[in-house]
Formats: sequence, C-alpha cells, structure tokens
Amino acid sequence: MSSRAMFLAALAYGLVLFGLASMKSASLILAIPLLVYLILALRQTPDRPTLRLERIAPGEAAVEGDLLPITLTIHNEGDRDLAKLHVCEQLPHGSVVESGQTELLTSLPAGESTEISYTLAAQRGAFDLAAVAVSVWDGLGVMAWSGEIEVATHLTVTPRYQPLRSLAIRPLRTKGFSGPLASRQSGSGSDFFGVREYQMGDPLRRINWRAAARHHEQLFTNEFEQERIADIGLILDMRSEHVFRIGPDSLLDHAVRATAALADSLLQDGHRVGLLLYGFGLDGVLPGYGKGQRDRIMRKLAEARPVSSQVFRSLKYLPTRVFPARAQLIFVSPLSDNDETVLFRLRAHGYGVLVISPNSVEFEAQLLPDEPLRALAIRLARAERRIFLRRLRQGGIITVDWPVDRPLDDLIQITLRQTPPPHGRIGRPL
Amino acid sequence: MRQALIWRYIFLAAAPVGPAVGLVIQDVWWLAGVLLVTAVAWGVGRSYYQAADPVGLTIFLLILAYAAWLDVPAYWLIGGVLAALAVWDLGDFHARLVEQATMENEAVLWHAHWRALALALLLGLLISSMPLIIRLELSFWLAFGLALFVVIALSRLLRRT
Repeated sequence: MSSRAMFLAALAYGLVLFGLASMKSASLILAIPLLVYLILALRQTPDRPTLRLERIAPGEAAVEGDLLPITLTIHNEGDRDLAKLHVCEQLPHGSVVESGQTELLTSLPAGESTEISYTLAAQRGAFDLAAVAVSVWDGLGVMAWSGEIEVATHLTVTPRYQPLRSLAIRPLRTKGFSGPLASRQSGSGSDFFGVREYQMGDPLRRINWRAAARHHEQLFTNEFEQERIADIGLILDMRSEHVFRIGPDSLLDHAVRATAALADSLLQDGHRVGLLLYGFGLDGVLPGYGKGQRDRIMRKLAEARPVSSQVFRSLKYLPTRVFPARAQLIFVSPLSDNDETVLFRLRAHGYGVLVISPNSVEFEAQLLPDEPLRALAIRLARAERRIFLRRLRQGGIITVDWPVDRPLDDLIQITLRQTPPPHGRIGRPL
Repeated sequence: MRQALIWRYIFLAAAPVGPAVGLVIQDVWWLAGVLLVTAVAWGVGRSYYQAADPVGLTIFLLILAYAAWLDVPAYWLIGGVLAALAVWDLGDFHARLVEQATMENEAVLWHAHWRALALALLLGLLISSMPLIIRLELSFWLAFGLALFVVIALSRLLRRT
C-alpha cells in the first residue's frame, strides 16, 4: 500500500473518530469525500501488468569507448489500459549514459507499445542488463504495482587497443606449421640459412654455383630457413596490489589493452595463443588459433578486474603447465621484486619468457604530491626498477619497460631487435 | 503539467471560500481568518516544500473539523474538503510529472488523471450530500456501529491490497 493511501486513511479515521467523540454528524460527513476517493483508488489497484519487454542492444562487437545505442520496447499485451506506467532501466553500477533517458512515465493503452532509447558509453567489461523496474498506478496515482521484469541482455565490451606489428619473437621451440617465425631449421623458406653438400634430387635452382666453383667436382645446395608458428602463452597479472588507479585511468586497463594487442597480433600471425589471468584462481583461455580464439581472448580480457587474494599474492602458484613445454610466455605485469624468482624458474623450465611491464613508477609519479623530496623519491624508485629489470635481462628474460604514455609497438620492436637469439640449440640440429 | 498547476491554484483559491462563509455566518471570524491564512500559507509553502501538501491538507481538515464542532453546517464545509483534496491530489500529480526526466503522452496522462479525480470529487460530493438531503436520526450506537463498519471494512480493503 502506498504512503498516500495510508495518509488518506489516517485522515479519514481521524475525522470519523472526532465525529463520534464530538457527536457531530458534520464531522462524519467530512470523512465521506476522503473515503470515496480512497475506495475508488483501491478499486482500481493495478495487478501485475501483462507487458512484453524487448531490448535491442549491439551484439558482441562492442569495443571500449564505443557508443552503444540501446532501445527498450514495451508492449502492453494485456486487455487493460495502463493509466500511468513508469519504466526504469536498472543499469549496472558505473554505467555512463551519454544521451537519451533510461526511464519513462507514460500512459499505455492495451495493445500499444512504446520505447525508451538511450546511448551508453561503453566501458570495458561484461555487463548484464537484466531487470527493468516497472510501476503501474491507478488513475488517481494512489495504489501501485511495482516490480521488476527480466529482459536479459548481455553486453561484452572488449578492450580498445593500438594494433601491433608482427612480433619477431624467438621462441625455444616452434610448431610444425608454417608461419612468420624463423625456426632455425633448414627447409622451405625465403631467408638464406646455410649451405650443405648437394644430394641427389635437390633442385638445380638451389645449387650454390659460387661454392661449387671453388671446390673440385663438388656441388653445394643452398638451404633456407623454415618459417614456423609457435605456442605462445599470454599471462596477465591482475593482482590488486599491482593495480594503480588515477581517476578513471588504471594500470590494469593499460595492461589489458597491451595483452589484447599482443593476442591480436600473434593470432594474426597464425600462432597458437592461450591466455591466463593471474590473480584469483585459474582463469583464462586454453591455447588455440584463429578468429574464434581472438574473440574468446577478448571476451575474457573484457572481464579482467583487479583481484585481491592472499593465496595469489605472489607468483608462486603460477600454473605453468597450462602452456605447452618450451612455449613462449609473455607476461604482462608491472612486476614486483618477489616475482623475479618465479620468472627465473619459468626460464629454467625451458619456457621463453618475455615480460611487458607497464612502468608503475612513472604512472604513480603523477600521484605524488609536489614536495621537495618528490624528485629524489622518483629517482630512487626509477633506479630500483632499472636494476630489477637488468637482473631479469641478465637471467635471459626479455623485458620491455613500458611507460604507458608511449606507444607499446615501438618499444617491443626495438627491444626484440636488440635481443640476441636465446642460448642453446633451437630446433632440430643441423 | 501546466494545467495541473493551474487547476491546483483554482482549487486552492476555492477551498476556503465555502467554509469561511459558514464560519462568518456562525460569527467565528477569527477561524475564517485562520482558514484563509492557512490556504495562502499552503499555496506559498508548496512552492518551496513538497511536504506542504500533506501538511496543508491535514491542517485544513483539522480546521474544518473544528468548524464542524462549532456547529457550522456541513454543506458549507463539504466544498472545502473536496477542494482541499483536489489541491493535495494535483500537487502530488504535478510533483510526479516534474520528477520525470522523460514523459510521453503528457496530455493523455493528464486527462486520465483529471477524469479519475473528477469522478472521485463528483461521487464524494454526491455521497456526502446524501445525509444532508435524507436526514436520518441515528442513535449514538448506530452511528458508532456504522463508523466501526466503515473503519473495519476500509482496513480490510487496505490490508488486502
């Protein structure tokens, strides 16, 4: 029952009691209009309306920063007119309505329909637009039926990223299918690999005539380097203690975008890519190829949120066996001192490790108050980080120190170009 | 939205007229003055506080009940109750419209409300006029029983909804 009905009833009761106590019939008569008003409202108390709600929202292709036009259509399928109908979208917390309205007060005759249209500014994440709050009042607006009607709409907003060029990574092992990576194995390829003695059946156009000219009665054949694909595991660090936030900007958001760009670039090159979200249990996408895998990874990245867990505070429980042996791991994390041991262990287990580290010092420096010791503090933190990253590099881990205001693509390309091939034999011995 | 506001002021202006005349005839000038001041305060207060509507209606009915106790005939008072009820109702309706960011079929909403309100006022006027026309002598206990019936019936109805 609404507060208005309670209020009117209280007034009517008051007048009746006063009339009885004062023995004045006029006072009783004064209560009659109130009672009539109330009874009319009560008689029209609305039941649950027979409404059919449909929400039209963009499908799976929503990308962070897009404007998502959403239309909610309300059909009155009952046989009664709805004198006053109030419909209100229940948006997930943090949603930003760019234009339009999410609620509507209207009068909806039986068999007719109306709609609400609005535009949401898409923020990365997986959202459920489910319940719509509906209220129906009687003609006088005293009695109401209020409730929620479910119209499930799932929205996945994937991260927006700057595409990366093809990555010239040097994994310890490549797979059998042709791809963009130099496999350090001779075979059919385009890059010169070496020369070997001619064997019966070698095509004539591969004979190295210069070498043959220098040796008496001996022929040599040019060999080319096979180009192959590799197994690549992307690991995104979501531990909350590594997530710094300045207003709407967070280091995790940058890390997510970087991971998305890496996944896209690697899958375009034909590699088999898997994803592991580290921070709260085991979550991720098993290795796979192609566009479907890209979509799976993007959807998973859309859900990436900073998580706090005592168990996963360190990288001790990083489940490396999710990825094939000797795969190339790309770890996207701001890093902390304690992570060093685990990264070295991964390297010792035979994985190629590339660390993309969003620079937390530069990011956090924006937050520090302008105090006399600020410059010194930042300098010390930078030095500490530099030493830490140098230790990783000395341990055979390729590291990309990424100040998030700089393009990641250039930094990765420069780092990979400057990195010597990994130690040890790669591929099948010659 | 504007229509609701205009009608609200019309009803507010009309509400104290009948009861004030009745009070003046009864020679209770001061209460007529109080009634007029209440109506003005209600109108002014509503511009600043939404709560002025229920407070205004309560005070107005208290004054009318007191007027009834002072033997002002009911036919002078009924118009006041109906008009005060309409002021309260239209105030709430107007507030609800103002709160809405988006509204559709405003004219239809207004007409639906106006129809329902007019019906309530008309029926209220008819039914409350009946005891004035058909004068029945009721003993205290019969009146008490009747009032008790109304209270219980209304309570049950309210609880059921």
